Amino acid sequence: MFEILRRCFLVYRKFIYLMLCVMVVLASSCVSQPPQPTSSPLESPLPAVSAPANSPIPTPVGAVKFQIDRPVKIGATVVTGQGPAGVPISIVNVTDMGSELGVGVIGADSRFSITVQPLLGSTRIGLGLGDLGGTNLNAEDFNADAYKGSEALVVPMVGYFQDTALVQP
Amino acid sequence: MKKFIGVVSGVVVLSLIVVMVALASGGPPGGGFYTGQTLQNVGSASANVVVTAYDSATSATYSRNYTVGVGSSISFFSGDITGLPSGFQGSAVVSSDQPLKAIVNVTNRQSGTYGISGGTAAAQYRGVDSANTGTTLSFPLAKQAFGPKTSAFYIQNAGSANATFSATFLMGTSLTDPAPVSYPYASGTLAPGQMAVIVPADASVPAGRIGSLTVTSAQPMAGTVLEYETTTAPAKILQGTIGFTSADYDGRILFPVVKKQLGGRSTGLQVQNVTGGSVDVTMVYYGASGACAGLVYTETVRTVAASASTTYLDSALLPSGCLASGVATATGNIAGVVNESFLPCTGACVQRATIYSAFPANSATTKLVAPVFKEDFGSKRTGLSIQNVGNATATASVVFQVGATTYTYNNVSIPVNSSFLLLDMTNTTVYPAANWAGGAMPNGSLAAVTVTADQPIIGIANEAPTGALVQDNINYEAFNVAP
Repeated sequence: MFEILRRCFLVYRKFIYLMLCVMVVLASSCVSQPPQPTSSPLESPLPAVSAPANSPIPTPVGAVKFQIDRPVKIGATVVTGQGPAGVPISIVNVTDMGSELGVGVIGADSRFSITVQPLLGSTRIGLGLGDLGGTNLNAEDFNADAYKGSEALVVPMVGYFQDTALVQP
Repeated sequence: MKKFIGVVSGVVVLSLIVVMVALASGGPPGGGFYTGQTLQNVGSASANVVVTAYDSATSATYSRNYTVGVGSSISFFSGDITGLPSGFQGSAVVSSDQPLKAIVNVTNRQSGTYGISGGTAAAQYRGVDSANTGTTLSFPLAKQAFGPKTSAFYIQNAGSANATFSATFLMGTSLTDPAPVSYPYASGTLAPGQMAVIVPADASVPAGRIGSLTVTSAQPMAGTVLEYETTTAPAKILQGTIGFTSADYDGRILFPVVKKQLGGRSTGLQVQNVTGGSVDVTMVYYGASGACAGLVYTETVRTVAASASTTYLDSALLPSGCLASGVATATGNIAGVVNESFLPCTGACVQRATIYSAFPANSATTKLVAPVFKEDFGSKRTGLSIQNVGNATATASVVFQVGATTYTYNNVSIPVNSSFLLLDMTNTTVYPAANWAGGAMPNGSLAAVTVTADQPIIGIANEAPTGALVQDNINYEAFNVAP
């Protein structure tokens, strides 16, 4: 008897496995499901869609970080620092929504010295890219972290600054 | 270079403080933000509106006139101002001989010459009526590199004389830090109308801090906060709302939309003590639908120090899949905001985040206006959630003004403490044709909405993209107006 059962199992085992699988699936579908969230009044009625993937920004070899020399003092009329050679830059007053204080081009020695209007207290100055027109440079060329100063900052509606510094007493 | 917004006052001229900054402000990776403004005439006669743009670099001004019908709205960008030179950067003043309400939309999504490739960040906030400015501004939520988020605060001198302001960040290392630290900042002088932007780092707030901000000045001020991620390039999300003045304070404030893991979204509620001493705060949630429908939950009383804030995030009292409203009552005046996002947001999740201001109970009226309502307009759809905060069932009617055409939806019934949602108005199953007067509003409509009820109501308008459009969610608080 046992041998007959064993032979039957061997002959029909694939079918038995299949039936077991079907039973498991059916059983799982019959189990009560947890409460599903209802639609939300503040939620899009449509499913979220994927955002376009960001292209990885390659890290340039030998990149020179944009950096304003510290400290930056009240009343100063010159702002110095470093950055990639040949890049036009501007120094702006971030705090007053971005008024331009001075412009210049980073020298071949990767240093800059820009004459600015006397700096005011309680303000943060920012170093941004200048007018790249007439150069073979693109703003995107300087997106890599290797170019960001220690206080790089984006301020919506004011702009993105490769470095910023608080004006000190 | 950008400047600020002037304020014009007069007997019949109402000025609105709206930020209109620059074409193509800033460069990549975080720039590209621009604004669009929508104005709704909430007066009783056609409004003659003058939009004046002020160049920050020169004394040049540029103007454009609009006529806005009663209940109607108009939208404009900086590029719509006649004669505005390419590359203009500046600000705007809106004046009108009728009362207006304004919504400012900030985004970096690329559209024509505006925005930046790959930008999806967007936020909305209310334009500040010059009558609703104050010498103290309260911001219940401030972040300094807290996770990926930082807050920027835009403070404007809305007075008539030069002024400075003092800002005090009260910041802790966590949402429940029992000993937040005070970080002061003193501004330079601002001329009337001039605006300054400050970030917590200006007050030497270290990274990884969260808390509140209080701004004081001898002159009335207006303020806006934008919260954003500093780690994404270009920016993907942006959240915006306005600072509170004393007109917004109350001992009882209302949160129309509270979520816990509802479709993956959760809310964080910040309540700020805007008094000079400690107050006790009690938060009560009223389940609206989902797993908490019809249930009431009460948080343990919290004592909040002067100017400090406390956060209620994914309350342990609430079940997952819960949509509720919240009411915070205190032993003194408080103010609050609600921050909503997917939580957590990992893997294929694309984060969309919004923030809205809690409503002081004393501000609720029986009439509200929502200047921007999109019925699948430009691949955007608006949902307007109206909450009955009265003590009896409310009956409301909703007027959608689309250009010169009016569509009215009647017979809206809202039980006490409950909300009614206006979303996908062409769905005749939810919004029966019999309730429409003048026919149903068609798809593709951009409407200004006026809701009138027989009980005090409040409202939140939320806008989300439809179809393949990728953009952050945005919302704003509907304006309560006198009936």
